[in-house]
Amino acid sequence: MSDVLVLGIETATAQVGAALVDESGLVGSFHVTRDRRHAETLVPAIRQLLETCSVELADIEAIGVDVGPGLFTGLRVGLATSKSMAFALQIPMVAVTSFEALASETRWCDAPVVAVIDARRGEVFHQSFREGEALGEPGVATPETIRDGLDADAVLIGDGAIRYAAVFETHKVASTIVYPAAGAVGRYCFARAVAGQVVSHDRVAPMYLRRPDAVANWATVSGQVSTKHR
Amino acid sequence: MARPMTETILGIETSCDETAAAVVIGGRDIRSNIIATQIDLHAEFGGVVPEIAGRAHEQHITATVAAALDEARVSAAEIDAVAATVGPGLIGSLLVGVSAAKALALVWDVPFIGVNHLEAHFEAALLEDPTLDPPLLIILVSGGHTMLVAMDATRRFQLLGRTLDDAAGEAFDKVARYLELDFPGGPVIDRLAKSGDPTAVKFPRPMLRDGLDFSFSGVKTSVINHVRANPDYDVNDIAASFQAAVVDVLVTKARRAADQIGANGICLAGGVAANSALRAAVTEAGAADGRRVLLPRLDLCTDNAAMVAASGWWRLRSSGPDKLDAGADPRLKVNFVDDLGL
Ligand SMILES: [Zn+2]
Repeated sequence: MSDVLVLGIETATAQVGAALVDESGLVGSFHVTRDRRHAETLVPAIRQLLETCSVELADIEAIGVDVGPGLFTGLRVGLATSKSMAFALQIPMVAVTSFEALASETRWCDAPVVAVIDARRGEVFHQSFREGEALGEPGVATPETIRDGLDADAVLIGDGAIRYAAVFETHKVASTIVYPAAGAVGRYCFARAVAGQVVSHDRVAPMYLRRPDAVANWATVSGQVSTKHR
Repeated sequence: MARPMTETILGIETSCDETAAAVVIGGRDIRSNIIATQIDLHAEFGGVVPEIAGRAHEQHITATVAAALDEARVSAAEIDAVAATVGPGLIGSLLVGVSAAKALALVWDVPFIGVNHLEAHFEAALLEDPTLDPPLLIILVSGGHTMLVAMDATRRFQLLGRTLDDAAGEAFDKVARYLELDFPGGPVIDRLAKSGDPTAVKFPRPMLRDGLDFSFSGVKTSVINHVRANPDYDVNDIAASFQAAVVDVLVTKARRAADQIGANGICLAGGVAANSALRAAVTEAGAADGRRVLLPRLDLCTDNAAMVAASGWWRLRSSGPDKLDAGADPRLKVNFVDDLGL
């Protein structure tokens, strides 16, 4: 298994990224956080990354993708891209959640870590971890609700923790861990791939944690529906 | 670089609520045309819910592409280019198809082609019968558009007429909703109209003698007013009479436009092209004027990827491949030529 090389893809938040990981760690990575042009940026970035790292597409043994939660359209760009690549390359995939990618950067921390991702509309997606292992289920809640349930020594990470820093002011916010990184997705994928814990692309599904608007709120349906172009 | 005329193109269409993929050779030979429709997911909302559509596209896109390749019995190595609809449409839906197409183009090392959904509809009728020579008059009628378009032999387009308010399909949907019929309204009105009298109510024919533009909002309003004033209305008669008014205006103006450009034929395009009364009226007009008529078969009228692959084949010739940094444009316009000189 010494020559395993994986591609990590990350588009679930404001950041778009791609990374190549092998047993030596990060081979190369690309991240852009400005302008949210995920669909425009991702595929050329992957091509550039492969070229710069002298990696052939055929060398990739698995693709890891952040399946969310996060921005719906952004994460669908990553899923459509990574699943199509895995299909065309006939290689397996590893699904990583945004929480897992964020929390994987805090294995060194022995305090409880809460990954908090901005969910808009005054809410955040959240999940708790200790030393990179999940403590509870993923959920969506107001920042105030999260704060009220926090352990005294809990550390918060993610763009939701930074956006609502004022709400979380009684706790430590690790302000350098903002978005899930493609490198973290890649490292997670590499570990799973080496352990043989991979799935087919058709088993990879997004984690939305929220129902579509029209389902959630009938009152807004008339403003949501679009006339079908038939 | 000279390109072979027999390029095999994978087309992908995700602009609204059909996830579709197709393999077309040489811009005309349909080897597969897979359509995964989401209509049931949206029916209860009486329209397409963008987030529901985006989710379903993501769920189905890869399997749909796989099915298109399977049914065409072509291997990935035989695909010469991947074309996808880049607009107009719902942004969250378009981006799924565009992302998938670019990823496939990257891995297979073939060109990516961004296709305009409306230009793809213009091409659909010619997939059936490519022997008809331009200039052609295309009647594009759908939920979002009503246009009379001239097409020349190199696939340049001139806009001759368009709706000034509601699209024809939109008028069908709104009338259907008012009559509390099922969604989508067009096919239901078509079906009820078969048992109704199209002369029962004389609904207005707006702007019939006036230029090549359309206005359907007034027809819709007259239907609503008539139904309000006559609570014991016969729904079949209303459907037939409303449909007759819309078809009458469409066909009258299309004939005039076809005369104006010396069209060799008239092609129907868009989802409303499935309407049986419109098909009959256009066929009749063609016979009366000695002009050929092309009616795309039903699975080519509605959103499909075969038309995207065919349009992509033409686009590859006229403007070459697109870059992999292409995105989607929900309001993409057809690049109309001011005057084709027809
Ligand atoms: Zn359409």
